[in-house]
Parts: sequence; C-alpha cells; structure tokens
Amino acid sequence: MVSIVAQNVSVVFPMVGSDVRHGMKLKKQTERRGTQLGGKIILEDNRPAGILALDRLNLVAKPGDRIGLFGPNGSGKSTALRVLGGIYPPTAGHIEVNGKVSAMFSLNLGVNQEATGLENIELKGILHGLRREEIRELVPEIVDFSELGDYIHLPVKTYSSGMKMRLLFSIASAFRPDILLLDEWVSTGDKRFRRKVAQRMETILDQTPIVIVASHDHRRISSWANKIIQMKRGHAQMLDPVAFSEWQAWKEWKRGKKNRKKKKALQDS
Amino acid sequence: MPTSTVTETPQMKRGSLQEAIQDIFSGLTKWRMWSALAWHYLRQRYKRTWIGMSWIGVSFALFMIAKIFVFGAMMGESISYYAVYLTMGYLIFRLISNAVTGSSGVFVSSRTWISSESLPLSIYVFQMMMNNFIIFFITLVPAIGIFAWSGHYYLSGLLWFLPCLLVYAVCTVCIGLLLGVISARYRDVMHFSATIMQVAYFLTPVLWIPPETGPRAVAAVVNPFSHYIAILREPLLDGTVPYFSWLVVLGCTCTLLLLSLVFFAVSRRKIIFWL
Repeated sequence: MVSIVAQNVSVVFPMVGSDVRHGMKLKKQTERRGTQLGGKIILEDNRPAGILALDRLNLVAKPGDRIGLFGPNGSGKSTALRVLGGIYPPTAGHIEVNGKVSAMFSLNLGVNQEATGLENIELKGILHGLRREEIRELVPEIVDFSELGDYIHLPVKTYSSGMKMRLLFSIASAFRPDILLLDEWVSTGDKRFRRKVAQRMETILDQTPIVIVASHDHRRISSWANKIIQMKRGHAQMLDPVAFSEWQAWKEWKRGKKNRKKKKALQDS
Repeated sequence: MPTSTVTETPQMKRGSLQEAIQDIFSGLTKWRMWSALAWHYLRQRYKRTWIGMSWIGVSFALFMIAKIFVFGAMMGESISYYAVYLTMGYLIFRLISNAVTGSSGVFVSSRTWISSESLPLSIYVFQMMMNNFIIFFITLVPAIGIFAWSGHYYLSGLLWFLPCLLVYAVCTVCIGLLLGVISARYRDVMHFSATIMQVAYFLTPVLWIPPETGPRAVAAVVNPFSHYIAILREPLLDGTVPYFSWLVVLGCTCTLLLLSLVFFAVSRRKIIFWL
C-alpha cells in the first residue's frame, strides 16, 4: 500500500564553509524573540555545527491524503517535502516511503539547463525508471499540456521561469506517481496556465493516492487539503482543516473591513 | 501530530555499512539509468559538432601519431615496438586519469539530479564509469589501427583484456565513491587530483621506457599506475604475464575497495548537504 510514515524525523543542515563568528551571530539572531526565518543553530563542542531545519516531524500519510504544508519562508516546508520524498536522509528519526514518488521542488533543480525540453523529458523519464517506449508515449501529452510547442526543442536555459514551471509541472504530473510532491507549484505560471493547472489538479487528486503541496498561500491549500500542517521554524503542527479555513476567512474579512474603512476615510477627506 | 515544545539536539544517525552496500547494489541493478545518463551527457558534449563523438577518436589518433613521430626516434627501440608501447600505455593511463579526475566531482556535478530524485547515490558513480569506458572503447578504434600498422603484438595478449578491464572498472567505481565523497566536502581535492594526474603522467612509464637502473627505474616500480598499465600492456607487447604487477594491482584494488566502502558508508547520508 502507498504510504509515508515519518517518526520524529529531524534534519540538520551541516554548516559547511561558513566561519564560526558568523555562525554564532546567526545563532543569536535565530534565538531572538519573534524570529520567523530559519531553524535553530545547533552547537557541537561550542562551535556552530548545523541548522535544525526540521524538528521531529511526525506524519502518517495514507492513500487519499491531500496534505498541505503551510508556513512562512524558511519555516522548513521544502525541507519537510524533500525528506518525505526521500531526497534528504533524515539526520535523526525514521522514515518509510512506499510508492513511486514524483516531485517538483524547484525550477532550477531536476533539469539539465543545457539540454532541450524534450531531452529533459527523456532524462526525467529515465530517472523514473521508465523505458524509452514508455517515455515516447508520454511525450505528446507532456508537450501538449505544457503548451510549449516547438520551444520543446530549445535548451531549457532559454526558457522563462514560467515556461520552466510549465515543463516541470507537466512532467511531474504525467508520470502517474503514487506520491506527488509540489513545492510552491504555480507561483510563476500566468493566469491561464494556473487555471489549467487547477483543472489538472482535480484529475491528479482523483488519481494520485498521496499529494503533498508546500505553499505560503493559504487559499491554495485550504481549498482541497484534508490535512494541513503548519510549519514554524522547523516545527510541524497539525491544524484542523475546517478551523483553518474559518480562521483564514475571518482574517480575510478583517482585512477587507480595514480596506473598506481606509477607502471610506479617503472618500470623506 | 504530537510535537513537543522543548528543543534539543536530535541524536545524529550514524552511517551504516549495510546501507552503503545496499546503495551500491541497487545502483548497479539500475544499469539502464546510468548508461542512459552517460550517453546523454556524452552526446551533449559533442552537440552542434559535425563529426560528433568521433572527435574523441580523431583527437586520440592525431595525438598518438604526433607522439610516436617525435618520441619514437629517441627511445632506442624500433618504431613499431614503441608505437604499441605508447598507444597501449596512453590508452590505459587515460582510463585511470579520467577515473581520478572524473571522480572528484562525481556527486557535485550531478547535484541537480541528486537533489531532485530519490535514487541510490552510486548511480552517478556508475555513470562516470560508463562514460569513461565509452571513451575508452571509442579510442580503442584508432589504437587498433596503430597496432595493425605496427604489427608488433601478441594475439594471446587479447585474452587479458577482459580481466584487466574488469579490474579497471572496479577501481573506477571505488575511486569514484572515495574521491566523490571527499571532494564533495573538501573542494580542494578536485583541483589537487587534476594536478596530481598531470604530474603522474610524466612519472609513469607511458612516454618513456624504464631503464634497468637509476631514478626512473625506481619510479616505474614504486608507482602503482605503472603496474596497472603493465598488466595489460606486457601480455600484448611481450607476450609475458607480469605476476608481480598483478600482485600490486590486486593489493591496491582491495585496499581501494575497503577504503571507498568505509568512506562511502560514513558519509553517504551527508553528501547531499555538502553539494
């Protein structure tokens, strides 16, 4: 059965190539109250040794789970996503991933910039263990969905970030994975493509057992996730989806009220 | 989702030998992946050229002819003997040198795939090995031409190709794991190994034939590279089997195997964070 089980999974990024002074300064900064950016600095023999990017994550994902990771920049969303996808080995804790993983992490990783779009589809397919014939069958679908047309024959380095996103999303979703991981997925797509992605997401949600999306945009998450995890400086906290969306709605309403007040004040003056 | 509020340093996980061996074996079984990757990158390097990968063979042939022409007259051996001596020596030395220089960047240069696909790390080492052997077999074509022209070879030497290539392949993978890990952490190693190989080229009997006595004779015996070359060159050139060289080679290979396993096992979990 497709599943992800994470028990007390922590990830520490070793601080390689930064000197002690900076590390100690950074430690002070991260311990200040109200800091949101980045994890805690871990000391070893009184020297900064690493950054605790993910602090004891516990998670069980079963088929049918749509998990949204939500939190500000540097809160550990991407790290969590990568651990769950088997990219980062956990520094501590235990993780078990059963199922074929397909992921879209970043626009700059997982592509060969020098190769054409088409070659990248091939490479990705090969690395997913597909045979050449299987890849060849998928190519028209991927090219078609990405709407890249003949740009697919140009090197990826010539693409805009929106085009790269189109390619990567089309590839990641075409492999019919058991587990799909998406990191800040549609942030660079234009309106039309975003709508298309939303449509494709519905099919993906129907077909893919486990979907995990990391985003700082709550609207995108609360609309379809059945589990919401709020990340805060490496800490993961499970939120109730209903309460979450109600809270978001209330926040939105408040923001609207403030804006209406401002508008009124402007009109009055 | 129970999350406690106290933060303490999590207990670090140590690398395990079993996981490392598992990584290597599961990487080995994914041969389709690493050979496709190797072909892809090789083809890409010769993209937009007229003759494509033939450049590898052409540049090798031209280089060999020039060297045989210049140094052949100085060596005191017949040109036909020296031609085979040099070609075979250079062929093997290049295989070794490509292994060393290719190894010390094997994980760093595959960063984009390592940080986006969940695959055994050894795949990228096997890819490097495959890449080196494709180059080796392409350069073998002009080399065979040189052998045919000189006529100075023993056919029985061909029998040694298979065991020798196997040894070279095992060593390439070991060096890949060892230097790949070290150079991911300490970037100086990349430059250091490139420099060392340049020096080693002149200290190894590739261009020159070792004399009976003197410092060069010592260099030829002390240098392990010269034994790696001898195990294939001597049967082909003289029809003899260098038992001592085989002893050295097998000893070196076993040491490399152990060292690389230990280093890989200890640092495998950290590699991705060093890239």
